[in-house]
Amino acid sequence: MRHTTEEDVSFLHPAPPGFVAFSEIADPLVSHVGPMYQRLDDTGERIGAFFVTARHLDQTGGSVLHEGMLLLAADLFLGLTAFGASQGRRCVTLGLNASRLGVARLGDLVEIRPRIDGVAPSIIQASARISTHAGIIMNISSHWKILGAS
Amino acid sequence: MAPESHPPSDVIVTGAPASNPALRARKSSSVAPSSAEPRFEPFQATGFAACTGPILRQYPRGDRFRLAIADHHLNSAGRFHGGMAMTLQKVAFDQVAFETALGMSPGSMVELVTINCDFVGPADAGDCIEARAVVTRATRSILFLTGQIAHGNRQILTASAIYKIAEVTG
Repeated sequence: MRHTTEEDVSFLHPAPPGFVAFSEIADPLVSHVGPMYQRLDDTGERIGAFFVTARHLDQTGGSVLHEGMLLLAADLFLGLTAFGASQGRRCVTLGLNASRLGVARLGDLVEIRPRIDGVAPSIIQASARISTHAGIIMNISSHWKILGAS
Repeated sequence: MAPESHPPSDVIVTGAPASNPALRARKSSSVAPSSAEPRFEPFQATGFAACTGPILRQYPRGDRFRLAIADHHLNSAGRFHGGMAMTLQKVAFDQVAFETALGMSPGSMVELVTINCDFVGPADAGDCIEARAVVTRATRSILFLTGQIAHGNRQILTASAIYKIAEVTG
């Protein structure tokens, strides 16, 4: 179900400069709430992004992004980063901790910058910094289990 | 944030297949349906909760929030998406925190400070899962909450959160 009302056609945003639409994996939930975008920075690190549209807000009448969308986007891009660090083995989220520092508003471009903090034989630690043009709005730390690793 | 706080509608929806009286009757003729089976109604018709839902809430103003896992709640592996689990739990935290703050000080709002989620088990399409949220400690300016998502007796996610209570001025 997509909200294609006259009030919310903002998901039709063109990709932000330098980004491409995310289509790396077929993820039904991400397709439902997206589009998401991604690009590689100068060092080859992945940066994820999305535009805040009306259906991402925490309720009618407000213009503030629901933090569930931040958690969802972080889970996606942290998972992709963990997958890369596990050399292609599937990973599942063990835990995710988020600290909120600010808000994103309707129309903002939100960027997710994941990074690997450590890799153990079966566990990966990864964190993400989420920001808008106004600055960092959330910091996230997470742990991932590498499936099949002991 | 300001979660929705609307009066209950007249439409009562039962979320889980097991809450359907006809199904209960077919399931066992020796066990009478519990008259204490809670009723659930649609929750938040707009915004992100509606986009990712539909989420149902225990009627009236309970601490239980239900989601029937549909295809659009799945991840690339075909299992329940962790991002959706966190969204559901946060919807429950938001609403319980907001109503607690409102009860302490009319006109107040709440803002998330931290949320911690541990993924303790999987869920699949067709499962009707339930999130709960409980305030474990309330000061004049801070709320501490714990919560969980389960499918029946099987835990899927455990969580905790801290919210700041903010007075609305002007």
